[in-house]
Amino acid sequence: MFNFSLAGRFARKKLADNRDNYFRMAYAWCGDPALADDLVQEMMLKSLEKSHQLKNISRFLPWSYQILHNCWLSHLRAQKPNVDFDEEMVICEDCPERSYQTDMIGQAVHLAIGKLPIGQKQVLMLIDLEGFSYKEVAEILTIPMGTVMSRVSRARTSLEKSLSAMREPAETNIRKLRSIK
Amino acid sequence: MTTGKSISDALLHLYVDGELDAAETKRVLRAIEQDRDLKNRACQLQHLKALVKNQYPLKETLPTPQQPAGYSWQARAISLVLLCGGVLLGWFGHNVSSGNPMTRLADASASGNRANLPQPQTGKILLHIDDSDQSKLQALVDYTEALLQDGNRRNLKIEVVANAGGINLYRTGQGTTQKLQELTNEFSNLELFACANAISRLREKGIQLDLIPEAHTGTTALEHIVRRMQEGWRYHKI
Repeated sequence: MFNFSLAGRFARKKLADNRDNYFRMAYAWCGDPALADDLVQEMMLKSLEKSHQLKNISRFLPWSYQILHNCWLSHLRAQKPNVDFDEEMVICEDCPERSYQTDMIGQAVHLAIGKLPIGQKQVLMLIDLEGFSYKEVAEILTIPMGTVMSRVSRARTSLEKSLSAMREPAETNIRKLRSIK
Repeated sequence: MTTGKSISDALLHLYVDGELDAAETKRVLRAIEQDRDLKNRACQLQHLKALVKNQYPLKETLPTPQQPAGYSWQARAISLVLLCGGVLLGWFGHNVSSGNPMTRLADASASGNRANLPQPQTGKILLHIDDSDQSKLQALVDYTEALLQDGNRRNLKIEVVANAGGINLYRTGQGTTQKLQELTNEFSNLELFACANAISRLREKGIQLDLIPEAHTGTTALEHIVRRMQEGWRYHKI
């Protein structure tokens, strides 16, 4: 009894302690709170089932995020079986994240993040939200370190472009008003 | 200005993400000081990083997940499977051993015949840490707690030995330290040891060390580990 209960107890504690972080990550990836909750539940179930496979307990977090990533990929594959998701975009026109944002900057950032391809979004969120190292992200997503680096760079460049494009119309209007004055 | 040109955008991303070693960080900082454009670029990246993080706060402002009808039955099904799985696992799995180090560690201290009925088990486990990595410190504390709180391991003896960077485990003011103190107060079968050599070395370097009083400091980590292993303790490095 001890064998399973100890591994299970450790996994349950870590999963419970980090549930909000898992939800935040799933929500950042998919943009849908209901789906995010579903993914987290699925991930927690799988983590408990596989907890005896964890070789190094200090690697629990990357290991569990890897399972969350796999749950997300499985969901995407069920939706579109023949698509390369790393470069695919999930654009949600009426998902709650749009109406949820009230401030302009927040909305702009949210929209810009929403436009990122899935692969770039996953890398950026793991680094910026959870503070994982590039090495850990490579491990979680099972991609080379070089790919992590290039995705971070491309994601931030895309974000900057999107944000500046959103700011431009407003700035143009201000200039026009000034010229009338 | 010329220094700034040797700092690529990719290197700046590594810098803002804390991926550079001390020497590289120093080089980037020096370049940033001398190049206004580079400084602006680094600020932009830091700002972007902060904007992203700010958009996904924990708890307070996240929308409450609302389960659409299509998901609720799935969630219930998962809960049911989890419940049944747990019951079955407990029922059939109580004598099964796996290859997991955590399990092996737990097994290692088990003595006597565990064939049929769960028996009170005795054992001696030595946990060793020599790294200041916060995730490792936290893992050690969580693991120790899980071991101590397991109902079937009441006769277990656990000692935690820290040296090198692992000494941080006993430094006052750390979150993990406080938890470890609570565990020590709650469980008399937990003892803490800090390496005497590591303490001397840090003090020689002028580093102020405020260790919790629960940590014994009379011996070196190596001596302690060797002695315990000779006495048949199970050793596990975090």
